[in-house]
Amino acid sequence: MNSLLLAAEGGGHQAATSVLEATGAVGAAWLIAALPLLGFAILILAGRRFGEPAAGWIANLFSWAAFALSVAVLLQLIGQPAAERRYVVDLFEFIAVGGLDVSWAILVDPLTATMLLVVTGVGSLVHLYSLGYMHGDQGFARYFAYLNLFLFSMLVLVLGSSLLTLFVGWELVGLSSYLLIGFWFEQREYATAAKKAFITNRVGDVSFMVGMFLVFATFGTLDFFTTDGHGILQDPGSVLEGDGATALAIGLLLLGGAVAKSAQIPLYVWLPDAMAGPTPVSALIHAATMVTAGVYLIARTGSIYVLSLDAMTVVAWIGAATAVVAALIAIRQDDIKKILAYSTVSQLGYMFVGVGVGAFSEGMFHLVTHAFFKGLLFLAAGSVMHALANATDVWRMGGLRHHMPVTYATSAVAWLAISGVPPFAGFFSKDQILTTAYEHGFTAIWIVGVLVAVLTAFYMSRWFFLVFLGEERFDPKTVEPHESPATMTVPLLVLGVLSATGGAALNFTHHGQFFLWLEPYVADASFLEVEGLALGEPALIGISVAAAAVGIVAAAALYLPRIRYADFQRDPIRGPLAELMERKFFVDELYGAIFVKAGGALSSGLAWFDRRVIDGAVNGAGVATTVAASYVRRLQTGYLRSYVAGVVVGAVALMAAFLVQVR
Amino acid sequence: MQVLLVAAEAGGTSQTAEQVMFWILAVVAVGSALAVIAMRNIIHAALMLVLNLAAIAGMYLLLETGFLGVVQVIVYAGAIVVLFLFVIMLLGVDRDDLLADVKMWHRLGAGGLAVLVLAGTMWAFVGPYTSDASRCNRPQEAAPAEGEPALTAEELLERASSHDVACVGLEGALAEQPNGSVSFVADRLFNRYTFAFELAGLLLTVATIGAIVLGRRKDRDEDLALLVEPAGAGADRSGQARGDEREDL
Amino acid sequence: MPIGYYYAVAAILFCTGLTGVMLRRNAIVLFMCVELMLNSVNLTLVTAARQWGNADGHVFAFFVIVVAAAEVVVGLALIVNIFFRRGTLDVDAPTLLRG
Repeated sequence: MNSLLLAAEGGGHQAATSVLEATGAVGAAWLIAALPLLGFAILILAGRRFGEPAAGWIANLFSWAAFALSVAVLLQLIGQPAAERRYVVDLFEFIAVGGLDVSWAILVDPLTATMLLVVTGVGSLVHLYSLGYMHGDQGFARYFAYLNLFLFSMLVLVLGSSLLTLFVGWELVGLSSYLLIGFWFEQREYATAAKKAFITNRVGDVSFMVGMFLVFATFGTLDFFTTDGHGILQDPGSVLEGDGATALAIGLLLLGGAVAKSAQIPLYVWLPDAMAGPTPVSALIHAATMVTAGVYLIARTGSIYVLSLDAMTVVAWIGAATAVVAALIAIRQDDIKKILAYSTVSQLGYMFVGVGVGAFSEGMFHLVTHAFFKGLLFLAAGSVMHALANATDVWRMGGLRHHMPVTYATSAVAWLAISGVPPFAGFFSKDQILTTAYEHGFTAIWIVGVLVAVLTAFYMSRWFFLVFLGEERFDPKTVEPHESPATMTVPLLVLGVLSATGGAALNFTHHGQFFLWLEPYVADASFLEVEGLALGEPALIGISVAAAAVGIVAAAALYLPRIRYADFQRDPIRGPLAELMERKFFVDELYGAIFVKAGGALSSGLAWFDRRVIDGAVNGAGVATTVAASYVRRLQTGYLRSYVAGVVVGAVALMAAFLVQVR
Repeated sequence: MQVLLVAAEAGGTSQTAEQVMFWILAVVAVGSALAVIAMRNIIHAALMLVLNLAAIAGMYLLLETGFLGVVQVIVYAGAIVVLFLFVIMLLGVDRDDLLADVKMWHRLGAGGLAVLVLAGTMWAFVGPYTSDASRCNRPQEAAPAEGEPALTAEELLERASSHDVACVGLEGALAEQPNGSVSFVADRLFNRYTFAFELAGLLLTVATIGAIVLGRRKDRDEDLALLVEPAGAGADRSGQARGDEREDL
Repeated sequence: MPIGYYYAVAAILFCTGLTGVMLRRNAIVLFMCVELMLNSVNLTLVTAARQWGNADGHVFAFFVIVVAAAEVVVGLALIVNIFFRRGTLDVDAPTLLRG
């Protein structure tokens, strides 16, 4: 296994300096992805035989093993000097055609290691949680097979050392997401939701692919880093030579892929529907990991984005717009998971703002903390649904804190974390994104971000109050709320601790540990810094905290007095805007009108052409054949010997033709 | 066998001996082949087939292929034809009355076609090789002049194609083989054609299994038999035939 | 002996077998005629091997013998089966493929 170590030479220009053998955990990093694949293979082939719960424990075994290896990789990287933490390990030749020579290699650097830990860590917790959640399901083994497949796909994505290998993982996560959203495919709308997610993602994939073509045409390679320093991320500026238009085009095309995968405007519509899948899946794929792939992609290719301020501005504004729209929609949703889904879209918008304003490590930081608290929120929602016989309407909940103390306490932590209350995790990451946006001169985006922070605190408080506090609004005769089993509460507790302390522990100050860990391995956007700003960092922190407080207080004032009544089942916010929010701004209807109707019209036109012209020709040919056959069939006597004679006649004819030609 | 091998040796060296042997074998081969297609008694036809195969085995010896000659006798005459005879006797059908039913224009047509094929083949592939140049192992080519090294196969081939059409002979190819064609075939089978050899073994296994499967008779198969009946009254007839045939057995 | 004479014998044997296949209605005899044709091809291979000084033809002929053996085994099993089912060896009797 050839491998090379590429160290960063300070700043954003990352060049190869030396070639070293990858040893220890990094040399075995391919196993991180291979182990879940093995688990998938075992479970898909023999899962039914293992049954419940053995199949689940097998999946857990491989998942936790991958997590342990990821920790080992992390520890090894930490042990290296800060400038020598990038390895490319060649595994095998993947594609070699013409000028395109792609070897399958894995890239291990702090950015990858961060993603590895998030994916395998949250992934393993979700595996554990699913043991309890999927208890008694018909497709228990199949579910864990898919879960392992997803883990493998996501790890292929983050370990990919070139755009192409990343893209393979990109497609694989799309597939596993499709399989898991449509896990209960017997229900038609679930299968439809799966298709919607898959097809919406295809739109982005086309953009991603065209972007890849453009990258290959421009750089002549798809590798991120190579030994000879010609990787696309090693000083792309010298290749593009100030050609901002190409950088912009590449940036926008890759962004097209990212917005689909990460559910941003205009392709976010699939994510809320994706809640059709089992809730742990929503936690893992549609909150913590897969949907963050777009953020990872932009952070990874950041050194191309920094060459075009326009591309970065587009990223940032898409993120900001998505954050606002999704937060507004989330305020008026009634489904416990849909609220979280729109919240995820909104938080992903924050991450896009982060990478868009050049706050790459801050964006990644928010990705990590978001994985903690949003994973926790989804798992808590799953726990609630588990307790209430799969009820999802928040108006039929309430008062659950007495019945489910662990779920209640951990949810409270997650609620405070996502709302941005110090010292919980979400506060640090969100505030650091906003601070950087402000310091990099994106003042309008900063204002939007603060507004979204208010909205976030508001709708999450609403969610929390309606579910856990106040009077019980469910029917106690039909459901009997109970705390979930230990397999489900342990992951809740772990994520609860991480949500509470993860932010402070990882990156207490703006340029803390986490920042220093990633900073040499993401693009350098410090040129954006603006001098002489009106507000200093303490003021910005104050504004962030105030935003969270405003949101929480507003929600408390609005809902806390009302939830004391068991018949409180109608949202007090009324008016046309609320209506609009409840109907999700009619985006689905709009897309339906534009794409589905137009596509339908086009299709009926084509169908007419197909029926009349093409079918006419085909049927004509068919009729002609039938007529001809009614005569020719008489040649088929059914006598073996006449067939032999036919063969001989043919042979004689061939021989005659051959001899005539030769002589 | 020893006699034949000696005769083969003679064929390799003496032109006259080869000629005599060839003509005898050719007449026997062609005559027995004609007998196979003409005889009404199937057992006789099968015996004629044995004679034909033996004659061809003799030709192999003349062609310096002792190994194949022996294999021919063992496999064809010893195994395959015995299998034929076994089946003929198992089924109890030693007379072929169907031959009489073949219409005259069928006979003429088939004969005409065969003659056409024969004429074409003769003209294209036999005619050019009947001159003296096509004699194999002619002394002047087999034995190099004094002091010169023996000719390699390539050189012989080159010389042969410089004449119109000629015969290279097997001396060159078999020169380094201690036991002539036997060691040559062995060498090829276990080196260059190992994979094909293994496949041939697999083929034989599959054929054996297939024959066993086909040989099993199950009552359930009666339903299948109905499917292959000709439509209409044929069902009755064959039903009867089956019954009769079982009594015979 | 000019090599062409061997070819001639092979050609005659082949055409004899061919005539038999076209004329005989008895499945077993028909099968024997196929064996005749296979043998004539083998003779051609061996003759050509000698003519061109390339003994690989022997190996090829050997494989033909192997395949012929397999073919006879399966073919005869089929014939026995057909006979048991239809009570005749007439190859003109099964005309299921008639158009």
